[in-house]
Amino acid sequence: MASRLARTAVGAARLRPSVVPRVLPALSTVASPRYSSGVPSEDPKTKAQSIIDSLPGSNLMSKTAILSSAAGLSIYALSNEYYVVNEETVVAFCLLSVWGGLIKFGGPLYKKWADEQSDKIKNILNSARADHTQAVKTRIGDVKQMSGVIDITKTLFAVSKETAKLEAEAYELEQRTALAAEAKTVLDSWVRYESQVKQRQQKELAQTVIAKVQKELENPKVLKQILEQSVADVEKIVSKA
Amino acid sequence: MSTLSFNNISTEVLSPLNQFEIRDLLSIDALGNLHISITNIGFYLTIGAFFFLVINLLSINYNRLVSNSWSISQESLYATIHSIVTSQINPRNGQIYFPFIYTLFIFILINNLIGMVPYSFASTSHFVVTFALSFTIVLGATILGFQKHGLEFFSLLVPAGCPLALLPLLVLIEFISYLARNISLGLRLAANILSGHMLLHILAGFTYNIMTSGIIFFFLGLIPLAFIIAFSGLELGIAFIQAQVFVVLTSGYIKDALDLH
Amino acid sequence: MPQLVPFYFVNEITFTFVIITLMVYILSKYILPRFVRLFLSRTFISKLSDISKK
Repeated sequence: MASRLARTAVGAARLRPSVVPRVLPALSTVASPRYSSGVPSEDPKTKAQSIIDSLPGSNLMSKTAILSSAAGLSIYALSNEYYVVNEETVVAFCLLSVWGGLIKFGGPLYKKWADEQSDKIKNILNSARADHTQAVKTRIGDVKQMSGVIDITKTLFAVSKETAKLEAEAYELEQRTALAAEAKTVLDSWVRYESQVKQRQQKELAQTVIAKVQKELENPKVLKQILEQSVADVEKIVSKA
Repeated sequence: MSTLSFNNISTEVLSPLNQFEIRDLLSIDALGNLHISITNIGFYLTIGAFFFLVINLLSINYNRLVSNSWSISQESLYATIHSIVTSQINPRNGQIYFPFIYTLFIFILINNLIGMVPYSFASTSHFVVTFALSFTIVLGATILGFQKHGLEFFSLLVPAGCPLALLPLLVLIEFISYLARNISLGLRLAANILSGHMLLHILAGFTYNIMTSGIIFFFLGLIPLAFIIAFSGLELGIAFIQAQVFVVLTSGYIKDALDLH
Repeated sequence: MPQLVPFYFVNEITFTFVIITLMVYILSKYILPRFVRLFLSRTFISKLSDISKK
């Protein structure tokens, strides 16, 4: 295979010298009207420059060194059959070109998509962080407003303690007065009752006395005795006077 | 491989199937008939697993919450397979199968992609590998179904809303199609990868013969070369799609076994 | 067809199952929980404001 490739290369080389001198005068005739227009005169130079720039290596020396070493290595590998050029090379070339095209064209696309995703995540996380700090700050403000609540609560508690004490005393006094009032009413009622009883007794006594006197008055002997006593009294009075 | 000699130049006719040959790398002949060896398929499978673990280790990004481009790829892979598992199997109880499905997907994808690299070996093009996987998966799903539903598992073979007269025939057909699941799952993957690689190889052989016949043919051979490049792109797409199809079908089979549709 | 050479079947199947088992183990023990923790912490941070407001 290597020999066949070499044969075709040699064949191509044999073809080319006959092609090149024929092509060159045409190129010069083509080049001269181009030369007069002026613009594309920079074109071959920039193209050559870009080709040289695309080679690996930093300056001209390293580029030539790398090129020559790559050429030497490939010739060594091919001639010693370490790398055999067969149809696998075609497969390799096609696969590598597909991979290279994907990386070159898909690479920036993927990077853009990846950056988009990471920016989205960053935005979400940052906004969440801002929201959370905001919420914490408002909570701090709210709680700060209530910082005086301790003293207020203490005074409120003292006041309420006093109020409770006073209420207890007032309740006690109230109970006491209620008790006294109740006792007074009870005593009053007793007193009234006693006076009622005494009145009744007096009335009864008076009634019995009057009844006895009336009964005695009905007795004629008593009437005669009273009459005699009254006449004696009147004589006594008349005699005195 | 056959050799023919013409004018003392002997060339070997390389068959396009040569790329799938299994060769011993290191072998031990132990205990008489036992031939223990590290073959190239084992080597490439190990390289695939190792490669995946290295990629995962490299894309950890110091456990940061915000991701760089490396970890986004892993996260989006996780999210893709998570969505497959959640949508195909039960959204709540199906998560227990997630590591297995993830491993399957990664295994098939990485091995397909390693086969895409020039001068390497496609392990998933071997029928034994894919059949072992698919038989294991369908058998496992069947055992899962029997464990969960008992003998009611056979109601899977009765499609919904079928007339009673056609029932025996339908059950037979469903049974045969259930058995065919074993083979179809593995065969699909292996046949796709195998055919892709073989076609690539055959076309490349023809193109190589065209391009080395002469200088005019060299430029004429650029047309099939462009076609081969397009086909390689298709192969790359097939590598991803076959992995995804395998995983989606596996999830579907597990759901069938768990839910009895 | 070299795929159908039965000599290496056991070898292939052994390697496949060993590699898959190893990967399931390593994934489910180390790598997938890492992802779960990452997503969980992201969700927790993004829902923190809702939690703290309530």
